[in-house]
Amino acid sequence: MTVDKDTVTYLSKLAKLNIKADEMDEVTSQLEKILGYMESLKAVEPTGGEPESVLALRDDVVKPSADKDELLANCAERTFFAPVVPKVVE
Amino acid sequence: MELLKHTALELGAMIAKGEISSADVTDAVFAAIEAKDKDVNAYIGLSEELAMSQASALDAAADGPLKGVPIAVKDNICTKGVKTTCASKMLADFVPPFDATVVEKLKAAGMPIVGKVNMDEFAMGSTSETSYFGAVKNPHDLTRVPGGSSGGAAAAVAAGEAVCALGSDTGGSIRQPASYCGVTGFKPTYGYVSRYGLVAYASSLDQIGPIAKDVADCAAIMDVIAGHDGRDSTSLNVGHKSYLASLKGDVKGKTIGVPEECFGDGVDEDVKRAVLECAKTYESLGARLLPVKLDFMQSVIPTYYIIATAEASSNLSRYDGVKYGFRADKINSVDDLYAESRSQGFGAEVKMRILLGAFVLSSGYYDAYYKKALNVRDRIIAEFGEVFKRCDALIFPVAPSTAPKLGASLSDSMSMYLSDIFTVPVNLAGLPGLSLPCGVDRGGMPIGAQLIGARGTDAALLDLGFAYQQATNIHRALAGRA
Amino acid sequence: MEWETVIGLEVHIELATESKIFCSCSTAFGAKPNEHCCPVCMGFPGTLPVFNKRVLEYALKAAIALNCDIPKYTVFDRKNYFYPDLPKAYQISQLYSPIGTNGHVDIDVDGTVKTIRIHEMHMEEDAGKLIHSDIDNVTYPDYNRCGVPLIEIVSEPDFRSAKEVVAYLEKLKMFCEYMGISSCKMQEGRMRADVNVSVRRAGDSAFGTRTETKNLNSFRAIEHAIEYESERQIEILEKGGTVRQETRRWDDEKRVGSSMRSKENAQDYRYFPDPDLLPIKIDRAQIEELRRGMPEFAEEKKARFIAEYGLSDYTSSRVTADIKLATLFEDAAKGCGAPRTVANWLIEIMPKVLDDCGVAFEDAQIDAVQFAKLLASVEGKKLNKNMGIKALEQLVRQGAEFDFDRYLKDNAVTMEGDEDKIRQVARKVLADNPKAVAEYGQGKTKVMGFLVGQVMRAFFGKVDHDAVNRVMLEELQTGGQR
Repeated sequence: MTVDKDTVTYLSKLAKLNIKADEMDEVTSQLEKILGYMESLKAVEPTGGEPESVLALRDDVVKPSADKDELLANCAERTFFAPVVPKVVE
Repeated sequence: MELLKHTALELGAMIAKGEISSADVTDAVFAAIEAKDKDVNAYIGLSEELAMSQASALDAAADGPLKGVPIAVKDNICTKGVKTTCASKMLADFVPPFDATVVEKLKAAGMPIVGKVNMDEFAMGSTSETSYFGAVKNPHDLTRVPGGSSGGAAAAVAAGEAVCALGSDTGGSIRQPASYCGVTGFKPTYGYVSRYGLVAYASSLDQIGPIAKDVADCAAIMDVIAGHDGRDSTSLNVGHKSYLASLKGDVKGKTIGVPEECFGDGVDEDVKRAVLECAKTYESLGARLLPVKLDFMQSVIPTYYIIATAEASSNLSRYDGVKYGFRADKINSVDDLYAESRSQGFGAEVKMRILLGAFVLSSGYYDAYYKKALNVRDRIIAEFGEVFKRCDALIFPVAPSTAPKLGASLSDSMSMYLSDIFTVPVNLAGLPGLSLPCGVDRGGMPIGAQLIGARGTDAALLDLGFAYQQATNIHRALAGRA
Repeated sequence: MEWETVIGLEVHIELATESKIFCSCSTAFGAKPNEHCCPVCMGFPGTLPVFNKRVLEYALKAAIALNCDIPKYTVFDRKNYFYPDLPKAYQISQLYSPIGTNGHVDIDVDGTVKTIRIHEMHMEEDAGKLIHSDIDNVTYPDYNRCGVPLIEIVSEPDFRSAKEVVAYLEKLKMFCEYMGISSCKMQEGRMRADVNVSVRRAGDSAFGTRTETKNLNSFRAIEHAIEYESERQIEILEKGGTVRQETRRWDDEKRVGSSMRSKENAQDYRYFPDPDLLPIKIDRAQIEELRRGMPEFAEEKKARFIAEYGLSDYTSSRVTADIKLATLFEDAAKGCGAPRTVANWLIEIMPKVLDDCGVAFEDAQIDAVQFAKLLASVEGKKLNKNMGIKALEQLVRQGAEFDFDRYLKDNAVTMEGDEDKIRQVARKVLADNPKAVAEYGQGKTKVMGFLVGQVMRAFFGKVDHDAVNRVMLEELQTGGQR
């Protein structure tokens, strides 16, 4: 497994993080070190068996929704009915 | 300020008797913060209005031993109408429109919430130095870290700036700062305390728990916050008997395992000595010590970091500048909006963990990393299960050393990760873990002993801790109450 | 050169639950933007999903109807990607352990039955909608649809024509309507299809490169898009070029497809089991109970109607086209004992009446009991056909309020059936019209129409025409025996 600048570029696109040019070397070397260490984890056979806990289910009942203004109060940029983002071409 | 030498339970009793009022205690806390926090930096924000209105409206609250006792809350736990920043630029102005379940419970119990305490950014760290609002200092030595990520909570209690606090623990974030600051901290069994309203770091590992001056206070706080919550699907649907009422000091006949892997070369001599002394105390109280082996110890760190970073990378994707949080300006496209807001809003450690998490989940690596870690985790759970057939609890250090100097850990993430070795396996297996002050090192810095038990043995574990604190004085001395 | 078109389908169906899949917000259609939201479906920090049990029930029904293998445990996985309609930046979906695999559906195209294999079907949450501004360069996310429950059904590439695709979609629609799990109305977005199209030379076993055309929202659009894409690919290949694997959009107005360049690169979704949701246990007993409770589907019902009610193949097909119609037919047929009349009225008369009233059948409230009474009256000659149609109009307009007995009373529409009364009036008419009687006697039988008409007028038309004819003929032939 190689971890190089291309790896970091790929991951940063996936994670929507801009790694600045002057940070690239440091980030790459840290990532390589840590991932190398993680890779050393010895594999084991799956233990099999049933899950310990299973999902609890909720009844299909409608509860009042939250107030729209409360929900949008933390938007850095909003119009009266929604947040605002730059236009998306679909 | 003398008021603040008391434990939460002592104050609660005085309030109930009418000797003092909740407002008296709450005022004292704010005065202490005023005097000391410029040095300690334990608090990110204060909620005076909320606290005072709670203190004066106690009739509405249920009766209980902590009624009227103020508490500080870690800033990754949502408080309605009060900023919840997670110590990040990303959420520096975020005001949640709802209370976390634990906060609702604190309010129902009549515990005024004095403010939000400082932490590592998004709970990712072991020193509370990655906070956007500046590092927290260890009150025992202001040139040293308090530990992390609940460093502000532990420091506030240790400094007398809070009577008690709520922290969160994903890989040791309650237990380790408690041990570095000489206070008592408890991480419950996974699923015992609701995570609804706790800003997620690693969903399968996070738990909220108390940090206080002693075990009895922790038990009393557990009575307030524990319980099933229908809003958290991972919350266990079990009944909880009173943790406070379970404190009897029962040690006789208990078997306490001492894992040899935890007392090896990498551990500071003073730490080993203090923790082994703690074990000896248990022996003198009637417990049987049993040497045990934990074969999986060398795999716990990679397993933890693979799982934690994977979950974190996904949990933190929602921070994109659109619905809440920091939003970069001068952007021309949605992609730009995301990348710039996130790059500018997150600190370096958070970004590193997001990248790591993206890698271990990415196409081609999922099996070799994430899936492998899940299998190892199952193995760790099974092996702990075997050990607890022979022991009621295990005792070992919380951390390999005492609090390092500020700045010493930041240059090398890897070695910081390695210092979590004694705390992360407890989160991986979802076990309860208690951090007890048990001594100081040659520099006078506090040392914590960790007691862990099988899942669901929280009451028994707290009782063991209680017994130790009945028989010794270190926790009182470290809290300036000896 | 013979070419073969190969098509695979991914169909998304919105399940008709009251609340969303992971929170209690309403799924009702047509709300103003962001009026049906809460911190959970908007992905606020600290929020957690709680699973709606009706989604499981509906998804299981679909899996059973599609003959899928159903696992003992089904798990939700996170699909991670960034898009403004996805507030958590991950969609809770299923990949590793979906609720159904290895299913199949039989379709009938022009008399030939073909089996379409289903690769898998899974549950997931829907994303929101994007509202694009016409004036500014901005987009407004509307999160109302976030969290609406979906099932996605992925077929094998077994289709060879657009006709087969439409037959399959109609069958899926029928299943969902009959089981009451979704209306599948494409025009409302309740059912959406993505088509994967490739071509190959007839006889080739390898598949050609496929393209994906997304979010087609009518059967017509699907047919057109398939034809267009198939021709486009054939043209490229005949010229010696290669088909590029890509995602495309279809404009049904302009009948043109185009590439969606932004989705060109295969996305790395980093699926992993959602740690906020535990595995779902699927009880075999529950599956059996659901299987037993499966409604009789269209084909079975059609065959039974032919056998039980003597309907023709064509009529039975028409009447079982949708479950509401089929149920109305059967209830009314049992109520009035005249199944062929009921069918005839439903197929021939009802559509026009609905049209005149401006009501769609799916919205009309037609009580089978009232309808049966109406038809029984017509059958029993108490009401002539025109009167019946007028009554039906009132039935449709008044909906649940309509009471047939009251209608008869209020409108005095019953036809006279009493022969003595008719005879009385007939004799009077003959007495009043000696000239006509004489003409009849001379062989001008046409005059009978005039005489019958006079009797009809006397009853204001509310008389059984056949009975009048018969009585009048008798009277004329017996030469007015008074």
